[in-house]
Amino acid sequence: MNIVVADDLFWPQETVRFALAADPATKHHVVTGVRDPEELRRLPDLGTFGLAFVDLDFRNTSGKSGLFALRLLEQFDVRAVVYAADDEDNRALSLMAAFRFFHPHGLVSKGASSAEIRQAVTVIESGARLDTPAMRRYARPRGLSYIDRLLPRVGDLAIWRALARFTDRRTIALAAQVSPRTLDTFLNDRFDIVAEISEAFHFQAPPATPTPVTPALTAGEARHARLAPLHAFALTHRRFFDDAELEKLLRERDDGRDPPTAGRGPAARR
Amino acid sequence: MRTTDDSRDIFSTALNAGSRLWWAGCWIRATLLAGMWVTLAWVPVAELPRACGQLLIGVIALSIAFAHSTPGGLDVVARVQGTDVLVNHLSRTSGRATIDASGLGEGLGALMATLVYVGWFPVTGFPVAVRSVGLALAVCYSWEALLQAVIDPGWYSTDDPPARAMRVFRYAIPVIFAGIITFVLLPWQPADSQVPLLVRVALSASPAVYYLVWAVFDVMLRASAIALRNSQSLWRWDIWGDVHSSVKNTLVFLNQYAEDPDPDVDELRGLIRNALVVVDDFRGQLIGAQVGGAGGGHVSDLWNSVVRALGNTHKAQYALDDASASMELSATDYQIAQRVLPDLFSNAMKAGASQVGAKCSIEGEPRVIRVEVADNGAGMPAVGAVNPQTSLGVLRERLRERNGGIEHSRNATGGMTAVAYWHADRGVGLPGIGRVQGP
Repeated sequence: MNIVVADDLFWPQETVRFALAADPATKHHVVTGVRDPEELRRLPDLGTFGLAFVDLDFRNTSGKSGLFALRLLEQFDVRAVVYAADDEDNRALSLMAAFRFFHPHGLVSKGASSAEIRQAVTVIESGARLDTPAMRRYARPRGLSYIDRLLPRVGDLAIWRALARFTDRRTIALAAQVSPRTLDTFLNDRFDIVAEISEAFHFQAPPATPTPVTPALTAGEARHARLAPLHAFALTHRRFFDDAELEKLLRERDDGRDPPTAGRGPAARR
Repeated sequence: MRTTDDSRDIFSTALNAGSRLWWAGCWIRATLLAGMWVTLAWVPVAELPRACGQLLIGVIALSIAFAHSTPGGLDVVARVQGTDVLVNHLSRTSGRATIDASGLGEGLGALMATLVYVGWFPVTGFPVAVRSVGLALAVCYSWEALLQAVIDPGWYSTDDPPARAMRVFRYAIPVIFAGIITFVLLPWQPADSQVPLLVRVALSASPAVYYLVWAVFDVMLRASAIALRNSQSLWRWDIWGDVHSSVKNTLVFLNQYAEDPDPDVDELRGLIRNALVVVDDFRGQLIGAQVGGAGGGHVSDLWNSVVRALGNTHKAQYALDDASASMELSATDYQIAQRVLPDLFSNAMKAGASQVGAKCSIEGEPRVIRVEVADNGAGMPAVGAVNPQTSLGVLRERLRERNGGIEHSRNATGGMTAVAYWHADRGVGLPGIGRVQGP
């Protein structure tokens, strides 16, 4: 099987190659690599690959993200596994989005051992999907996915982006071109989902819910109590919210247009 | 990391703004002064020499102010005979908030210009409208000059904060200035009373606008401090992401290899050297000395990182071939070189070299990258673990995957020349050295 590793670093590709070459059962696989998603797009023989390992963050080499690479791979019918540092908190939303919008065959951690890499390739070669606890964390929970609750409308992206850049309520509203009242509603509505995500993925301490700690908060103080943790969250995930590909995916979702490979993947996508 | 102190940021911003406002102020005053010269067109010929003389003081003072703030400006003034004393005085006071000849000259110039239109000996023969316009220009000139004092960066100094009395005085500046204008604008002579009362009142009251300017300036300063704090926090998170991406990932793969059932100790050494070089490469990116790093980059950047991470400038001299320095490698090739060069380099160090030279070339079709390290060392002790032939074994095997290898030969200095080569990353359409155009 031809395998391509899309990662801004070269050594993950070598790790995969080494792992597969170390066992007679897997040494027939041919591993090559690209350093950014644009390069992946320019591969003349992309369709001939049986599997791609895709990193999510290409900050060193490209403005394009792993979501762009995943879309491309689905278009070319290439099976993909997400190959990421999944235990870093700033990767969590990208991973959720990867599983929300696409159908990766699995998740392989950057810290995976040679044996785990071999096993993943063998499972996927047999036509199955990986099913690991790490992957189940990011696959959609029942009901609306985290991404859909965090970003019910594509317009919310502007608020999340402003939340990362500014610390003052009025400035955030101004930058996001919404009224301060709309911002307050936004903070109110998103507070619980942010707390839930933070708790589910063990990011530091979950943001403190304002009411139980200080019941006598004024309306203004309560607003601030919500602003600070959401600002921190937006800052942590800034690169995710800044991703142009995410914006495109959300816009397609809002327009009711199906993501690139709808109908091809198993069952309904939502 | 230290947190930011807003008052320091405010002071820095005030200093940055101060130097630019001073320069802008010089031009604004030059324009106003030019306007006053135009009003002389309406002066009877008999009065002209005196009027010109009075305005000339402002011209000289303003020229000195320009010379003060232009690089090399004072040198031009010094060429004029007999200006030594003045130039010495000015170069001592340059950049310091103190009363100097330039400041005094501008004050005198402003006063004399005002006295062309009103006061105790006004020039006669101006039409009323021209006299009013000229007066307004002259007052604006003083107004602008004094504005520099109202928003002087010194008020925000954290190193040498202004005394309490000075801070109170700052509030009094507009009032005192309004008093002076009112006094000068009193109808001392019949010609003075030609200027409409409304104009005189408006000009007398104009210093009140200082309070508004001051307030706006303070708001801008505070806003800039907040913007700075916000961008610092964004920057920290970005750096954290970069540290993770380049440095931590390198260590994760090192750790992973070390945890494998049967790790090769030479490969481990190579990975550790690579990690050290990655850290120094990251330093280069952080301080802006280089742009590439994990995303590809210049051979010279890599060489600097290798020397910094592994070299010892007390023991040896290191030189990179000039032509190689500007050579650019693709992301993949750069990262391969990040493994290869440290290994060759450290072997040269182990051989006891006092001179280590490196060279890089990209030639042929398909393109072959050659990294060459020549040393004048006596050679390594023939102990298995540090024998270059074995310590480079794993690396050689990796390069073979890319149709490459490592070769050693004895050179003219008696030391060794090691050459590692491999086929350049096939690239898929990106132009540039080290890449091949895709079909």
